Amino acid sequence: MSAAIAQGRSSIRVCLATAATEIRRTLAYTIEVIRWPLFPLLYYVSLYFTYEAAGRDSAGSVTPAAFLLVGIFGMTLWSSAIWSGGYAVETERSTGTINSLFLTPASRGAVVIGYSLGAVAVFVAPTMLVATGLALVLGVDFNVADPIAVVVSFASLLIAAIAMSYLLAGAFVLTRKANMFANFLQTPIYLLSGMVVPVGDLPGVLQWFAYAFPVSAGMEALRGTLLSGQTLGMVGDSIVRLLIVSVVLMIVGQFLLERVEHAARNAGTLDFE
Amino acid sequence: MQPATLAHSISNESRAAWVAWLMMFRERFYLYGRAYAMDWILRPIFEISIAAMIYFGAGSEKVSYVVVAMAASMIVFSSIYFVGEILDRERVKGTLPSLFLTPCRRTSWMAGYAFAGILETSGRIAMVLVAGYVLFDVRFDPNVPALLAVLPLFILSLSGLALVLSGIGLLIKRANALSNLVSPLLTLLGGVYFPVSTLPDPLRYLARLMPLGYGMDAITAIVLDHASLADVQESLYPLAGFAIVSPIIGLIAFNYLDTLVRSRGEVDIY
Repeated sequence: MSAAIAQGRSSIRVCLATAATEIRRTLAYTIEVIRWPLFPLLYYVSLYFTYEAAGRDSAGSVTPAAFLLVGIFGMTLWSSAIWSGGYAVETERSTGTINSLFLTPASRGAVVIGYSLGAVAVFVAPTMLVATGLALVLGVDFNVADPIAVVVSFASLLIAAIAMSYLLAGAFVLTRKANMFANFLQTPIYLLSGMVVPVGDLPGVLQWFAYAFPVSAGMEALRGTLLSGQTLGMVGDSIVRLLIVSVVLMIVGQFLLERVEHAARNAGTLDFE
Repeated sequence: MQPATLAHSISNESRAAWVAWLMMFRERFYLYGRAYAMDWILRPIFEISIAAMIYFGAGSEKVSYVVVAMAASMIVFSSIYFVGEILDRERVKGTLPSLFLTPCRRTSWMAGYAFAGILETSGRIAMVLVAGYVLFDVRFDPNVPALLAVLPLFILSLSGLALVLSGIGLLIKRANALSNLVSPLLTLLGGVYFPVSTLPDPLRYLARLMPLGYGMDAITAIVLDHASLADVQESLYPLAGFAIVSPIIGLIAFNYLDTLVRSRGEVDIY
């Protein structure tokens, strides 16, 4: 029991230390501090004007500005999942520290989650704050009936993003072209997950993807609670589905991380770029 | 210069340009391979799909506009991500000082690299147009002579931007971050998803200070509506102005930044 507690404490320390490193690494370059939040915000404005140019006054059951706000939250978390936690092992490889990392007894999972938490602090939180301000300027009406439901929906969305990053961390090590795959994965997900276009607007077959993609369920719950006055009971199904998928992703991610590390060590290719 | 020396010099510089092109082509083709193809070919198609879904029911001419504008924006993105990042990428690979020390003009190997970029961009433009034709039923009616006149102006007007970004990338050592900062701004103000004329006043004024919107207006009209140069003269004159001024400003800025980085002894520091 005490060994498990010590292990847990160690993991938390590793996680927080990694998060602090990620924050310091980002803050070391002013341009990194500016560009991470700026991309989703400019994308938000671009898509808002596209809806305007299309003459549409609604997306799903809300205004385009409101719909896109939650989409930008999802997009920010998805980008963070790809480029921080998902890219954690790849970052260690490209900075030449992967061998040292894997020689320590640190939990690999704690490192991946640490990267994600660092990104939440320097990328996700500032982006969401500014996006919310922008949404207010664009006249978004919030309709919150159950504040706890909003908090729970958002927390579930965050957990889903971290679970995605856990899965991607293992998957990205399988390839030496993680940057390309990471780049490629962005836009299809924007389209297919309901971030920028309502899932109901997609052709039938493409809608299936959104039902399987965890971040979609989180956005659906957040849209309902933040914009349409839905309560926890009304979005409970989406949240439970989201949490179940997140747990599955974490298990698959852990398996992948272990397998990949084992295979890379055996082949002696862990630090190959 | 003696004719023999001149011939030797031309031969030497041509060889440098050829080898640079070959290396860049191999790097892009073999090293990045299928993942690279997936990213650069399929991503624009998904971006068009996003616009098409938003414009669904609003008229097919808007999707047609996005397809052509997206194809033209491939030149913009190449200016930013390819030319703008060339030197910083070489620095990260550790080959920049060696390139600077090779016994040939820098313009020769940079021309080789740029040619690889032009070929790659042409391929991506073709893919976007084919996707527009096949997937979105876009029909083109290009005025080829007018297009041949406008495209060089568009490319020249972007060359200054690429040179400035390349120089700033050298200086701040984060060329990719800079590209990622600039590209969404140019997407918003460059008329990729909608014509610049539909932007609200303050943003439209800002957009009109850049060549992109003029280029997009002219190219989309020429490719979709068979517009002549006279038809697009409102965009053509400002674009021609940018095509003259932009490379000059770009070269001055690049030379200044390049000299600054060398004098600081930071060519291979990142």
